[in-house]
Amino acid sequence: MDIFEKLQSLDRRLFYLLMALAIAIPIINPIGLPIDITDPVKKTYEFVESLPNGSTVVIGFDYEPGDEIDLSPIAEAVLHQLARKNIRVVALASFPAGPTFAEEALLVLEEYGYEYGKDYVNLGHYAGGEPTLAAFATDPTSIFVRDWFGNDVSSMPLMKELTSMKDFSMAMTLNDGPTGGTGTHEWVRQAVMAHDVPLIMGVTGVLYASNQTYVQSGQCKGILAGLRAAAEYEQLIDRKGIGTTGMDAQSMAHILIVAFVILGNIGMLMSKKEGGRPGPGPASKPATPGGEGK
Amino acid sequence: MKISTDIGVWIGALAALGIYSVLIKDNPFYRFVEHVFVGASAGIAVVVGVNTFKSTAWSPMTVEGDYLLIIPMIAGLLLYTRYFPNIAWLNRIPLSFLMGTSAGVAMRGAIESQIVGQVSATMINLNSIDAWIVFIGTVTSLSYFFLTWKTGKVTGVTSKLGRYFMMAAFGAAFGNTVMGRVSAAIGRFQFILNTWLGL
Repeated sequence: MDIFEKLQSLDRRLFYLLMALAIAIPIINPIGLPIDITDPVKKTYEFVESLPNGSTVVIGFDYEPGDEIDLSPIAEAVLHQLARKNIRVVALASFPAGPTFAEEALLVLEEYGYEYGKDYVNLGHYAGGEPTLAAFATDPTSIFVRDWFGNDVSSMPLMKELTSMKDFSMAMTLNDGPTGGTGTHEWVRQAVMAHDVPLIMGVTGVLYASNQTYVQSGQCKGILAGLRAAAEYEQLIDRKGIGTTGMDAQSMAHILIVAFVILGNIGMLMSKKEGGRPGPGPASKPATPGGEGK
Repeated sequence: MKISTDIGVWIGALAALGIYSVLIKDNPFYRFVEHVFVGASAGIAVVVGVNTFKSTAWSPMTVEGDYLLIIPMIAGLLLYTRYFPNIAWLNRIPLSFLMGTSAGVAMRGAIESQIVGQVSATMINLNSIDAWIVFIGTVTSLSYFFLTWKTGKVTGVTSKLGRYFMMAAFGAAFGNTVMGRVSAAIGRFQFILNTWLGL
């Protein structure tokens, strides 16, 4: 067995071990690799910066624990910027775990002297997805009788001022998909289309491609995708957080993956060339469009 | 190095290690943690469901006297009639109401946001290279799915080009997916190394 065949039959556990090291070492000893600011993140930052001081925004924590690392750092970075502009925040969640993430993220606001009920509120979880969001958009106090902590919503100064979605200067959804909660499409329909409220999205990396179309069409004012976007946003607000510290590990893991992809392909090509093991076999012929065989 | 003394952190860290242990081989520790995870998720869902029912229906009715809420409560109960064959037809009433409401609410903005808005954004502002790439990519990708006529010289080229555009899109989506999965691993490693072990 030559080296190229060996490359293709490496024990996968070796890859897992190397991946674990590639992630763990930079977390223990940060390298400080440079982080470039990409256009979508910069535009999102600039849009948030353009919001009127003292206005109110609504943020949907529409994600589950598995995507916390992608979306919570985005939430915290954006909340820092909002707090510097004295913008008030109403948080709600379409996933049962969402209010917990909101509670953790909203602690950022207390650093800036925000007062609960007056400057920010965590309304908690709502069931029903889009119809409930639509009802909230029509009358924010109709859906939530009590907040996440059991307080009477109608007695809160912040909630007394809200009559519909139009009272928000911006809506934001931190979203990991529509399964079980309110997805980005629903937010576009209920915030942007129904009430003409500007929307920004924080999404997992998986959802970036499918939601970028809303930015391109102007229906969404900004999009932040995954831990990478959080790291960039932290650079813009000049406050390092989880996103920045995770980027070294992210970069090292990606280098490892790319290296293994290249090595694997070289191994396969060389094996074929030398008449050895042919690798995974010939690629299947793609279906010919346009009615082949008609 | 300052190891956490929080029992919750210890449980979370050991559970994460248990899940990761399957990468070496299937083992009883992994299965135990997996079952705990499924059970805990189901338990949380039940608690959240009961709390939602209490806060949005039961308490407003019993405490604040909003007796009209008995109607959605009965409708909700009718959903469970599907488990009783002789009255199973009753579950169609709330189900059709749910479907109708959801469809109606979604239709309000769907045509504008997902059809008109997207099509106009693709077709109108052809004032940059990016816009042209989006335009050509959209048209050629759509041509790949025109299956009503035989592939000719022109349609063969456009559909082939469309396939390359779609491959590029799938590649970008896959790359983002990998990034997301690596991020998830980073989150757990930060929890284990920083929060638990205090490194």
